[in-house]
Amino acid sequence: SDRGSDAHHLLRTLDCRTIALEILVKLPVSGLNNSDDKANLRNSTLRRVNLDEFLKSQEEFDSQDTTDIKSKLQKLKCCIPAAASDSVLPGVYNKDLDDFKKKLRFYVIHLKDLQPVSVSRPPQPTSSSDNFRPMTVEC
Amino acid sequence: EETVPLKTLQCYNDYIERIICSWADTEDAQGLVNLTLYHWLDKKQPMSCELSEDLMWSECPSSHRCVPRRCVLPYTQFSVSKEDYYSLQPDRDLSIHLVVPLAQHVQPPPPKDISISPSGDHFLLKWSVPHGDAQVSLLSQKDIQFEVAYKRLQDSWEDASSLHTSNLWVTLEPKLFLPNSIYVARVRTQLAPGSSLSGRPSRWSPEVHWDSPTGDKARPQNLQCFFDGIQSLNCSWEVWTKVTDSVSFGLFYSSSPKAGEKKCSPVVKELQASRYTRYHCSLNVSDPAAHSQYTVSVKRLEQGKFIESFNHIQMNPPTLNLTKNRDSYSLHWETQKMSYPFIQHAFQVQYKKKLDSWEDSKTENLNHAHSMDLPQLEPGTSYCARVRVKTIPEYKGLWSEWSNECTWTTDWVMPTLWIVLILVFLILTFLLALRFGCIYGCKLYRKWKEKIPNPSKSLLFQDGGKGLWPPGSTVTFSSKNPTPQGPQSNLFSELQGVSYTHLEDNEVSPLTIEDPNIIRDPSSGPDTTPAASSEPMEQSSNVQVDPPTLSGRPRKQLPSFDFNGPYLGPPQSHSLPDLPGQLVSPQGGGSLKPALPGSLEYMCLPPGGQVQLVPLSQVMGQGRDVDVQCGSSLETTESPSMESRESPPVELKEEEQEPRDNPVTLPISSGGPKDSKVASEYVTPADLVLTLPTEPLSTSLGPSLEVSSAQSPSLCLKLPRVPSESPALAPAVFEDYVELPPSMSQPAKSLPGNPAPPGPSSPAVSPGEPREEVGAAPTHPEGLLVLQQVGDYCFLPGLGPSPLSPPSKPPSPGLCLETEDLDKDLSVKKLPYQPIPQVPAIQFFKSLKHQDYLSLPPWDNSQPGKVC
Repeated sequence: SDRGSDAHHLLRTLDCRTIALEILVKLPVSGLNNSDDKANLRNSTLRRVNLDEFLKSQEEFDSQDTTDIKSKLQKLKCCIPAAASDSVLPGVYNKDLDDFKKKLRFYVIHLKDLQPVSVSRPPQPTSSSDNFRPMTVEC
Repeated sequence: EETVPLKTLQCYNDYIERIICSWADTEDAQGLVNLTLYHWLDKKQPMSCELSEDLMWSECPSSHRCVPRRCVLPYTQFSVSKEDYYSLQPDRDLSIHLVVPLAQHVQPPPPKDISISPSGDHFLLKWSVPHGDAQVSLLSQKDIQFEVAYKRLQDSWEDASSLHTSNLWVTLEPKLFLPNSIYVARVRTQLAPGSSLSGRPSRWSPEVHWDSPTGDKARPQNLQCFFDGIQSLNCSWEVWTKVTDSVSFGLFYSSSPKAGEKKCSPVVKELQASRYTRYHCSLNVSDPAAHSQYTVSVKRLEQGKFIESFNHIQMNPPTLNLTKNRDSYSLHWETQKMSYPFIQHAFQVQYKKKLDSWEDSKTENLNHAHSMDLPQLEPGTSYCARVRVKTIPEYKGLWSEWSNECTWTTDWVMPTLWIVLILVFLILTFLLALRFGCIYGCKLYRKWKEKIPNPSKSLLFQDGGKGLWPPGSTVTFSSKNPTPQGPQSNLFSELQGVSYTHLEDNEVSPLTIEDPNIIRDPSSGPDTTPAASSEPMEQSSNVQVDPPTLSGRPRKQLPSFDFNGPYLGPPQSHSLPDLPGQLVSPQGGGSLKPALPGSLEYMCLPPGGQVQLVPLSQVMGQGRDVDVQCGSSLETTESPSMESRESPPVELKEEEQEPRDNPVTLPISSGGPKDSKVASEYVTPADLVLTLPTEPLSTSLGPSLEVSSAQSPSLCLKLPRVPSESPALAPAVFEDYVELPPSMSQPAKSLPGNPAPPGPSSPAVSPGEPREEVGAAPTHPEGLLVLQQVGDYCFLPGLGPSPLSPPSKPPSPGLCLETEDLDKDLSVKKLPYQPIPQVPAIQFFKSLKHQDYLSLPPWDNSQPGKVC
């Protein structure tokens, strides 16, 4: 029973669909016209590749995380597992911050089918560990 | 201390030959040693003892359980000079021995006067050594030293720290003490190692206590570690117990400065009843030679736990408002704006009566709604409501606090039950009012109806009146009044209608309903009484007399007069040809005279008011025969009336027609030779009419009436006769008499061929001239025929209590009762023998008729004594 309790204490359930909704409402409403971009963003095979690109673009265009979406995008990595072929697939290209937000919004709208996943909690910090990073995700 | 056996020992003797003792040993000692009781006097003598059930003269101490014994000793040398002694001795030697060399058995006395006092940051502990009073002492100062032991109050003396000193004081450094603790110390004396004496240390001195310096109570203290020499390093530390509830501590160690710090586990907590809690932890030292030094520290353990925000949401209470919509109410509430608009909410609404508790309230759970319509509430009642909110479904949390209570009062509406009750009450009230109204109305109606005159209720026609109805009166009426033919038929029909209207409410007087023909009929009733037995003879004689008088005509067709107001005349149905027949009869012979002797003293009225002519000659005489005949007639009259009750309506109809027939009757009765013939022989009611000078009176009386043939009287009321000496009748006045015309005074002369003129043309007596009552009419110088009033009737001269009349006989009981009833019923009637005003017979007849209808007579009542 102690092991079960401990395991329960170290794990938690991540509601992926709700995370996607939270990202969606932070982004301004705007239309995406490029049909090729739309097709790539809807492609479930390219979901992880596109997510990685969005993370890079966020760091590049919004390093201060003014839209408060960085941590949410990182959490989505647990919801969208990586595939072996991801390294050879091309991801979405964002030319500027507005383009990034527009495409990310379209991408997130189509993540309605995400399912909850279990993730482990970060380790307990000690009194000497001042560099505790609770945001670090271990899927 | 006296032992139990001695406490319980008692002895008594008989002062002759024996001594008896009683004592007890304890149950516990009895198993270890046997005691024997000895008597000491001249010599030591043991007493023979045995177990006993109880002590004879003493009691066992309550803290022990005793074994009682009883001893007996034979003895005869009793004397007051002797002293008896008793002792208890064990059965074996119980002593031990010891040889003690003093130098080898030395134990110094313990120190005394121990005290402690602060000295700067140190503590000074001092004591002294007792010297005693001995001049020479083996123990010297150099032979002794002192041992000081100190510890915290909660620790044991086995774990105490100790110091040795040869001085009588010692200084304790602060580092020796843990802060915030209570310490205790004690001292004892020991023999010095170089001393020639040997023995044991002294006992410990009394203890002394003090408080250690104050420090950080939350900090762990008393960290101690000991290596067991093999591979285990055991460490312990103490933490203020109150602090352990809030802060956790752990033991961390490192074997070298370069090595990382590790955490020792597990930590064992030692339970103890003190202000500090002790913890223990053991480290495994794998290579003591390589790591000869360990750095150990006690540190605070990091305390924390993960609490996700999205699962621990408690919103602020909503804002609640109430809206009234006509007859209903609805609640509205608003919540704070959320970080994410897609977050959904669940609401819980409670409402109750203001005076009820929330436990009794009604609760509604709603999702996504921000309003709720309240159901039908009780009118005129105060309510309050509240609402709370929480997030659903992905975002979880607790219900918010309840919102502020919203209070309102519903409009007062009369409850349905009240309305029903009020309606019921009103309906019942209305029904009661209606009932009482009806009752009151009926009562008023009955009272009003009772006020309407009703002849049937008259006393005149009570039980006695019913018996006066003759049987067969209907036949008489129909025979007398056939339907007229010609132009008068319509008038007759109208008269009949009028008569029927009156018949509904009134009854007819028996004086007007009897038919003489019916009375004479032998089959009219049973003849069982002696009076009735004589009646057939009278009736047969009457029958024998009638045929000669009525020869040539049936009896039914005999004419008769009707009582018509102030006139006595024949019914309208009669025709003139009948009169000659009637006139011939009296002239036919003298047999008629004997047939009419009964009417000499009475005026008899036939049924229907018919009037019979009475011969004057018979009236003057034959008084006795008249009495007999009249009595027989009355007796005969009673039984027919009782048998028949249908006749009154018919008679009334006939009577009602008479007033309208007056114009028709007058032409028939106009003068002529026939009238003079009739008048010459008989006295008729018309002749009794008093002619007055005034025109109205003359008109009402009428000129004359046609007369019919004389008949025997069939109905007459016999009244008690007034004595001639009665003072009431002595002073006769004008109104008491009726004057006859002059022609009537000489009937013999006028009969052959000189008809007398009608009554109205004869001279009248002047008013105011009183006339004395006379017995014979011919003797009156002026030729007047004066009627005498007796009771309610007027009679011809000689009918009253005259000298010629026979002595009066008492009336029969039935007749007397009938007469009395009539007198009582009629208000206008006068009692006999009382001074009452004299009223003419005609007036009485009219009064009777009017009385039947409960109405006043048509003439002037202000003059009741007026002569007809």
